[in-house]
Amino acid sequence: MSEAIRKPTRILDFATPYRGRLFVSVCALLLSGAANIATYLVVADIFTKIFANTPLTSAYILFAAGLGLIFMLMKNGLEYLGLDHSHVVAFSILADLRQALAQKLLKIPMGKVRKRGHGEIKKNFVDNVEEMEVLLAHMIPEGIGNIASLIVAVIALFIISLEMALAVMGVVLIGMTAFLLMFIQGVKKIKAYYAASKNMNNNIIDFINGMEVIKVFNQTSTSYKKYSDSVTDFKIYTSEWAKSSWKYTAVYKVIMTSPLLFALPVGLNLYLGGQLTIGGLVLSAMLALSMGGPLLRLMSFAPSVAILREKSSHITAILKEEELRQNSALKIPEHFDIDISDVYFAYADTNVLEGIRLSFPQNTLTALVGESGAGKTTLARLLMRFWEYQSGEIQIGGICLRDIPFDHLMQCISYVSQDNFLFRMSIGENICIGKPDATQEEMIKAAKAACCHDFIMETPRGYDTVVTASGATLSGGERQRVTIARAIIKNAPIIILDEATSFTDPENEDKLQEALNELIRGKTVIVIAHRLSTIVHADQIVVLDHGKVHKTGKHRELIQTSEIYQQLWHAHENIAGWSIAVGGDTK
Amino acid sequence: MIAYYKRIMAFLGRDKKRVQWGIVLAFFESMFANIPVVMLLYAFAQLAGGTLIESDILLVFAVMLVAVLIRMLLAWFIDTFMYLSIYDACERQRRSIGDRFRYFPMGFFTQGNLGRVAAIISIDLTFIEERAIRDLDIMVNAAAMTIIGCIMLCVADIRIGAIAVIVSVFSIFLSGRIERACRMESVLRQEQQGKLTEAILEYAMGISVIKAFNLAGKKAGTVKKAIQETKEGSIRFEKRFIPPAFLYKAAFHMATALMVGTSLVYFKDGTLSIEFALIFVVFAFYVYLPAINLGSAIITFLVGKAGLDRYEALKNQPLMGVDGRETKTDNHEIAFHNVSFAYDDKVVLKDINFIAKQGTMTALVGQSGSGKTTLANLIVRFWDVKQGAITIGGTNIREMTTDCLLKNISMVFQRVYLFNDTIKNNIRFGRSDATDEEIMAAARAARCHDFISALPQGYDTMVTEAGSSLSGGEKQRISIARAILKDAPIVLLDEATASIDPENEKHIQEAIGELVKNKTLIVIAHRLSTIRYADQIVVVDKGEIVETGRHDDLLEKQGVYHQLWTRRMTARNWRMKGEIALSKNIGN
Repeated sequence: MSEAIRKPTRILDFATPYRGRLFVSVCALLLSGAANIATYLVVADIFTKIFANTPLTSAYILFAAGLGLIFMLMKNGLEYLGLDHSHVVAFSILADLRQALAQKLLKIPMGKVRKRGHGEIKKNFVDNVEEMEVLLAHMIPEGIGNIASLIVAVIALFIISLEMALAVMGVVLIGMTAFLLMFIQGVKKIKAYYAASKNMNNNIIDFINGMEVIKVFNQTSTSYKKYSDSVTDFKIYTSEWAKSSWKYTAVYKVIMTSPLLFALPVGLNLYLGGQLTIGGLVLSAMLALSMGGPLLRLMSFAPSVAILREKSSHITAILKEEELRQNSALKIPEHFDIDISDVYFAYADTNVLEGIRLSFPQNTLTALVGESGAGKTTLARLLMRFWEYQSGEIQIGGICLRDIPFDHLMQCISYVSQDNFLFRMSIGENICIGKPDATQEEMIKAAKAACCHDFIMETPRGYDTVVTASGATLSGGERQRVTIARAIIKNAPIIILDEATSFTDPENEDKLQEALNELIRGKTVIVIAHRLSTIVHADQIVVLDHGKVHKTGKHRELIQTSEIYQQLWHAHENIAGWSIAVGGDTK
Repeated sequence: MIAYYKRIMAFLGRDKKRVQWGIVLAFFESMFANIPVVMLLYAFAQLAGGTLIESDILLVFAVMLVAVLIRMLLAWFIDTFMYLSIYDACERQRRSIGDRFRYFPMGFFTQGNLGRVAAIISIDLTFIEERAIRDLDIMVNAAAMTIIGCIMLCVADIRIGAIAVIVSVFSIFLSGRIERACRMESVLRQEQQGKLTEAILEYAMGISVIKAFNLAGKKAGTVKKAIQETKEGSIRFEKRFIPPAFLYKAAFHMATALMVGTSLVYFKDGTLSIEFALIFVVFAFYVYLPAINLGSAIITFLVGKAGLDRYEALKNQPLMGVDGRETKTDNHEIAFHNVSFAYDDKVVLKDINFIAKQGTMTALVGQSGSGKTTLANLIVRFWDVKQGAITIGGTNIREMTTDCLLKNISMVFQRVYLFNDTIKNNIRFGRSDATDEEIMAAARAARCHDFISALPQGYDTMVTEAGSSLSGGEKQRISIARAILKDAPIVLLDEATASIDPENEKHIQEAIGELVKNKTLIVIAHRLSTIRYADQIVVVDKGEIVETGRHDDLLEKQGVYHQLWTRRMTARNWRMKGEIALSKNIGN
């Protein structure tokens, strides 16, 4: 329970800077409620006059109608003033929240960010906040407005007559009870509903994503059945849940909009008994009638509160993520030998790397080889502080990673993988993020070195062509070469190539290779490659096996001494000569 | 607003009747909802006459209680009628759109569209499910209550009634203005929201690049700007809405004040009884409430409308291959006759002619973007040709039903897709009536049996659970097992494999060897070494066939294929340079 209370407060923390505005908003809305009552007071006065048989003068009529109008317009105006301020607050909170998430993303170790995967990142940083926006932007202003007008009305009722107030409260109580009962008995059904909804959504995604396969394998009937069954299931559970709620909704919706049910008979009795003036009766009846709408609207927020709590819990979880550590005594490496001593790294209780001791001297090429899952990529990424390792130390130029300012560390390393992310800006700008002050000549030189220049010149606006997200302008292989141009212009002393030669674009592999040759020239290079033929000339080959260093050496040594390396090599040689044949005898 | 009403009705289809009955009941419910006010007015009338006695109070209570109970019953009926109808309608729409998907051209299901389509069926339709009835309720309630109120007033006193009628008519005009203001602003706002989503998405997806290139300041600045602009846009939107909404309400307030004033004047004149004067003074405050509520609800209608827009656009996608006839043939020769194809205006294939003889292997080669993949996709009618014809066994594929055409074809895609189901069912997808033994035989042939058996639940393991433990190569082999099980006479194969370790790649090669045995095979070849023994190599360049022939003949020709081959061989023999080479270059 304490958990449940604490969670939304984290989001509410974002409201603190806007206390002033919120105060103005609340005041305006309370005053709006008061103006509403003032209108009713005018009506009450009219009634008192008529019942007292006081003759109405034209001046009085004009005065009463005019005053009533002024109060109504005040109510209306103050209401919008209050809503206006609280809208500003709501949208400011959302903006700050987005901003906080964007900042946080920079400080979380990359490994943790990547672990979440693209889908989840999108869900957390885009979808969840957007869904919260829909709710928050309505709940904050309208919630405050409704609560304010209810508070004013209830206080006024209690002042006028305790009995009348209680009579109105009786109706509210019945409504609340029905509402609570609906929630309590709905808990079970709602779970089944959510499960059916999730199941349907999964099936929709499966059905659409697999459409290629479904069509080609002619299985429209089977897979369609699965899809349509889940749709029907969803309908059944939705109806069941709804059916069980309707008897309660009928009760609370009707009763909440009938606040006169007890109040009117009670008021008439009081009036007959002389305990209530005609003015008091009119006033309290009108007050009671004004409460139905706000009550119902407040109740309609209840499911949203639950959703909001769920969404905000995901967001708070991100805001609480541990950030990358940085020591205070910062040093900058002057040379780029890399030393790894006794590094242990475990990932969610699974040991990934155990007791790694290696050194990669400056200006040499080291290859990391091993079966998939041996820990090659993890080891390379530790250098870039994707995660914090548990023990041991990694040093660049004799300085521990944590002592190097993170910005500077990033300047020292270029990481090239199959990931070919480009920003939605011109191709030229995408290249120049490697060196913001690069001249036009430097940019073109890098592009030429990465074998990009030709295809860039073929795009409609050359270097000024904007890269679109859909990738229609550039093919996967072309995008990859732009990222290499970016790395070339960055000119970092350490280069990590993670499977960069794989077949994103086999037709243009030769171009990619030329680009890589240009990139690694004169650098400390670490390569992860499945195709061992590409790294036979490496200065050092590290054979990893289940997170441990099995052997290090040159190709001609390892081919003699390492059984694992021999296996990898043979597997590689086997596949290279393969060709397809319909006769059945593959070679 | 009327247009929105009609669209909801059209969406409801055959459930329209039930909903209309619900609306009739809702109308009665609205009338009963007025009973407390009527009783209040009745009591005031009695009070004014000084005739109120205790039994009247009992009567007032009894009438209100009965009205409340009747309303509860009606409310329950209304919910049942209306909501069950929309649930049924949504179920029907979801199923029918799913059915239509089969006839959408495959080109429709691009990566970009997949998410959008899924969102329409799950999110948009759920929104319609939740909102449409509520919106109908608000609209009908406002219209009904206002009309009833006006009639009641007119019957009581035509002079006062006239005020109500005039204001109500005028308010229709005002509400139209609110609606227009909303619509314009909401378009702008959606654009702004779209920009924000794009900026945040780019930032989040590119975060590793941002860090690696120390772009935090610049990119975080872009995002900050987008966030600020969205905030300002949203606030502006709400502000823009305020003046017309204020005016709308103010119009009713003026009407209320006018009604109160005139009632009192007529009372003073003696042309209006004290009872009616009191009734009008109070009723002036309630007669417009539903219409006022409608004014603030208009803004929320936009959400439902936007959902309907997207759904209708999806539903109106043109279909393909609905008609055609069953054909049976033992001949599976594939022939392209003068085939041309264009995406929109971009010509992709021009005048393609070739024949893939039954039981032979044809390889399609060419630069990336040359059109070779499109060529293979045309055979399975992912799209239809623009000109010319493709025949299988002499029959134009456009004259066959899609089912009939695809029965003969197995396809191994570049993009492996496994369903959220057991491994066994994923393989069974190849042929739904296959026995467990046949499935296992196919798995063995595709070199999957061993790793599947090693999984805790073997063939019954859910793909999602095994998801993280299955490597890309293993998934690919399962997809090949599926194709082997289907045992179709024609195989279309995209031979590109993503980054896979050599061990896996060897297994995949063996699996492919099993799959293509004695089939009519068309390979989209990315690495030429694999297709040296093809019976026919079709070289495609910029959408045209430039060379056809066997490997050796084509090499001799010294043409396009020769160039491609030379480039391939250079790439294959590439070696990264070690220290010796490096030290030489350091001086540069």
